[in-house]
Amino acid sequence: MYFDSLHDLLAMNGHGVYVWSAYFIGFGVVFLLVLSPLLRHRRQIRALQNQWCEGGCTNQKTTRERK
Amino acid sequence: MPTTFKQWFHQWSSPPSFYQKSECLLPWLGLLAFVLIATGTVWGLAFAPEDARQGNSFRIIYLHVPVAFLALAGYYLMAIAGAIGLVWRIKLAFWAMRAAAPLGAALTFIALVTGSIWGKPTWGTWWEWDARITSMLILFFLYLGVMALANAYQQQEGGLRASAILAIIGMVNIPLIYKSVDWWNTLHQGASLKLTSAPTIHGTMLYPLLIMVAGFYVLYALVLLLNMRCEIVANESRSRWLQDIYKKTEKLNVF
Repeated sequence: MYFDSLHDLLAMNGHGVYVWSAYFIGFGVVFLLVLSPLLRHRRQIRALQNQWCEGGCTNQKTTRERK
Repeated sequence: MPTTFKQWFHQWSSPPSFYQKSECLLPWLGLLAFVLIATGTVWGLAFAPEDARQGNSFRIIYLHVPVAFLALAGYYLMAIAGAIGLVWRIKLAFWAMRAAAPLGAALTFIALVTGSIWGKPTWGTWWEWDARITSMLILFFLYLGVMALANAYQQQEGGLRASAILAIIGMVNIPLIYKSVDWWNTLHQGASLKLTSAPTIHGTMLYPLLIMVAGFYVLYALVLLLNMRCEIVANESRSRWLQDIYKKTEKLNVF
């Protein structure tokens, strides 16, 4: 490692606050970029499955039916 | 197996086949992007030497440069997809354009924010209205414009065509961004990586940067595919093939 200790790595000679906040914000946005289409797709398919099964499905129960 | 390019192209440009073929790529793209970005980040933050002039603040380069690269390359992809949609009326091309817009906007946003944070310790200012930074801000608004215009029409086709035209016109901004550091007197440093000449950065600092660029290319492909699959489902919700895939599955596949 280039730094002598974990403390040095975090402090980065006074530049730590800039470097770490840049990475924190950047990776936060990247995380949302990956997560949001995954969740959207799941919502879409669930909604479609409920719609298709309104007439009653043999092998899948909607939330309403389970209650 | 498809034998010619034409057959291959036909297979991939049909929504059902694209939807099914892309699914098996997703976990591999995800894994590869994660490994590359994690390696590049750890190497860049903890192992690369510090810059003689900028100190440790230069480590922001490992995030800033790859996302800025992809923000620009992604604009070309979006505009070309829009042009293909306009000329050949391929639905999937329009959906690729729509899928690329929010992704490009997010990457441009990260490039602007990380650049701003890097500017403070290096130039002593968060923001400067100079050529490179202003043209990147224009890129951000172009992406937002394409997103807004695609939804602004009552008939979807009209919105897609209008946003494709905006995307194509906006392409003039891209060479402007590339060249802004050479043509104008700007605070922004010159390019560290060029195709036409040797990099202006030392090997020990260069390798993690190349790994990060590769990682963000893979990440871009992953998110683009995920967004396109959402577009396909949204537009093909009444299609029989989609019902055939999901109606009978009890356990829901999250991808």
